[in-house]
Amino acid sequence: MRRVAIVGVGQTEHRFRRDDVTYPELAREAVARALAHAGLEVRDLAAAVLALAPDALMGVAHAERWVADALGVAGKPFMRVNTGGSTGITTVHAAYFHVASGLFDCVLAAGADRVGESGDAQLVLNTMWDVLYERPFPLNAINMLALQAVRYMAKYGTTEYHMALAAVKNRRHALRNPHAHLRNEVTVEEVLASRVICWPIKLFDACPQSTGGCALVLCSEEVARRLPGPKAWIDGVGNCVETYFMGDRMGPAAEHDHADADALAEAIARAYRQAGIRDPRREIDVAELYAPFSNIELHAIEAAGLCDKGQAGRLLEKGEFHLGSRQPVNPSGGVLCANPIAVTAMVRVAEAALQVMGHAGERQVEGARTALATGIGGDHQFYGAAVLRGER
Amino acid sequence: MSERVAVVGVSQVGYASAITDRTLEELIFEAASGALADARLAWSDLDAVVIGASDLVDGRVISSMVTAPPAGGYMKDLIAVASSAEHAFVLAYLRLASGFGHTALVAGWSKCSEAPIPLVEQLSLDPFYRRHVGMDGLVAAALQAAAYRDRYGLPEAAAARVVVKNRASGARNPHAERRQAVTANDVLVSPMVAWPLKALETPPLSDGACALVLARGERADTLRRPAARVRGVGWASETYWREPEDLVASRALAAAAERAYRMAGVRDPRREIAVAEVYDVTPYHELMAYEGLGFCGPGEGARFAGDGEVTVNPSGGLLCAHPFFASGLVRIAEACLQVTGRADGHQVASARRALAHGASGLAGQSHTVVVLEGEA
Repeated sequence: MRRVAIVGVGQTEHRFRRDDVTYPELAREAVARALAHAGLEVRDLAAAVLALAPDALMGVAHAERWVADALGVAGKPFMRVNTGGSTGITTVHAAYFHVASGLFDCVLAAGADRVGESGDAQLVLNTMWDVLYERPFPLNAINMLALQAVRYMAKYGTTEYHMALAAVKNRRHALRNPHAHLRNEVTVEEVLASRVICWPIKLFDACPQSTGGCALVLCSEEVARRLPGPKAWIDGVGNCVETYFMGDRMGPAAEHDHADADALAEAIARAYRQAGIRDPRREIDVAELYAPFSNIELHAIEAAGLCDKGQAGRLLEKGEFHLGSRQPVNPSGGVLCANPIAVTAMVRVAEAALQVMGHAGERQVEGARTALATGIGGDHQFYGAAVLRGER
Repeated sequence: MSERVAVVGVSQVGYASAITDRTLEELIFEAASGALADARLAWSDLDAVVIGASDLVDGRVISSMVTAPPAGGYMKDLIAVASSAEHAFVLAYLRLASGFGHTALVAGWSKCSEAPIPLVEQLSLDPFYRRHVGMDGLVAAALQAAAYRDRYGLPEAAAARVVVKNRASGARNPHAERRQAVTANDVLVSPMVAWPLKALETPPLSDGACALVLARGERADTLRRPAARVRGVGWASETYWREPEDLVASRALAAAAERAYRMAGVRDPRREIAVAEVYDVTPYHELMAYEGLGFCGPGEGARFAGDGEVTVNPSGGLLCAHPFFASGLVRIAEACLQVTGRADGHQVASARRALAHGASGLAGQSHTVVVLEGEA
């Protein structure tokens, strides 16, 4: 199996809206930054994979066709991946297989989204459910995960306070990240007092609707060794898929519990297995975990094996998972501080790559050598994970 | 360098103008189960699933959510590709060629009877410059057909002959939607739908699903199933803004064919390819494909069509069944059936090496070419 490295990372600043650029121009901005970071040019790219989640959020059907030129792929191999919120990381996996197969030496993974212009994203996302059964409920991305929060609280005795701790930590981290969308600190009291969206999720427990782009350049070991910059080696990749119907994750016949993220744990275990990671509590230096609501970060930390089930909130209270602690989680501020849906999970990989490259600026985790990145898509259905290693 | 990969299971469900007794999920489940059964594999033997899903064609947001489980994706390592079903095949190949796992299932489908396909194509136009024009796939294809016709002074009868050939082939394919042969006169007197295209020169829009099982290396050998070795894969995109480009000679098709031939060691495709399943969204596109695939020179498509050196579209092609988003994957499935000698009713004698060609996007922005080979 060929070793593959990320050699270039590009990200736009994530904002609510960008009225100065079109969708292709936004993607191009990220691509140009990734190429500059790698010291490469468009002509060096042999193929590209686009991350674009629901077409309906973009308002253009199969917008991969529209954005192709911005990625410089005319005459080159090009495909698009869409697994909802995890699209960004499954796109990285697809690009990884392009290089690992031996067919290509230098491949681009890129995308952009403009969720701030999508109108009511929840109205769009409601249509992902079954027409007759779960859609009229009516489910959306917020209440489906509020159901998780309630189940998790009932099972483990955690409270809204523990959720708030995750939000406070991530907002504080985002102050150090110039790309983050939400860059203002909040207190536990402010989170608890913020407007209830769908109990127990409150406004400050929730991610923003962001516009932004992200791009990564992946190279074979042979080509990566010739480049002067630092590398983030992709040493493990894994995906796993849950049931479509949320009701199948509850009740006596369920194979998994909606409180937990067992399928995420399985995706991560697959990536760990490939990377040879046996004890994540010792071997993972930093984790960028996809969590669009504060409650999701708690069970994502547990699925990553960084603590036991039901313990993440209590450990957050003790100062674990903060920047400066032994295993920081989401030093970028995470999804709670920027959610440009199509690339949100790619941003997790990008941030993990920057950490192991030692290029994470003020949010750098000292001595970070091994990092975990994850993504979640659909109705908590599609899970992806990647383990990255630096050379330091 | 890359691992050996072969297609060891094929299944097709449909194709028909409207399948009303089964839901989309049921069609996909039937195709996926059928492909596994054909490979003599159990669901637990599957290491990965790659599906080709279009939100717009399936009519819901992140449609891979509802289609992944019936394709066998539950708790599996699955990726959903959204640009075309043939790209899902390519990604499954790349995954196995990387040495990841031993088996993978690929599925593609469309239920066109429940999808406003022309609207889907119109909405793929950017909202600033082109959306207002109201162009759809049919109109874009007609512009290409007109450009080809004008460039080489093609007589109407040449296009009609391709339709007659494919409809005669489709009559022998149990999966074809259109299974009645037609005459050149039938084609010529059929109503004009978008000049120069007449009704019988355009494909139906079909319901159906298609699934393939791939295996790598020794795993493929131990199955002792008829295996179609994947010898070459090539895919490429063309620029979105096609107005200044050549609508006849596609750079993307040339690049895709070149890559697939280089991998497969094909130097003279006309002599080395026995059967080709090409993306004949109109007969003109079949002629353009002959040229793009190097079976003949530019403008020689009509002459090549008569010489019989490569048997093209023994399945009847898109003109006999067009499950829109899956049609490229269906070409691959049909090529696999040919090289393993399992094409019921439409088998081409001694078809050891076959080519499959898929396309997507307005005026064929994206092209994919796969070269498959049977046992010696």
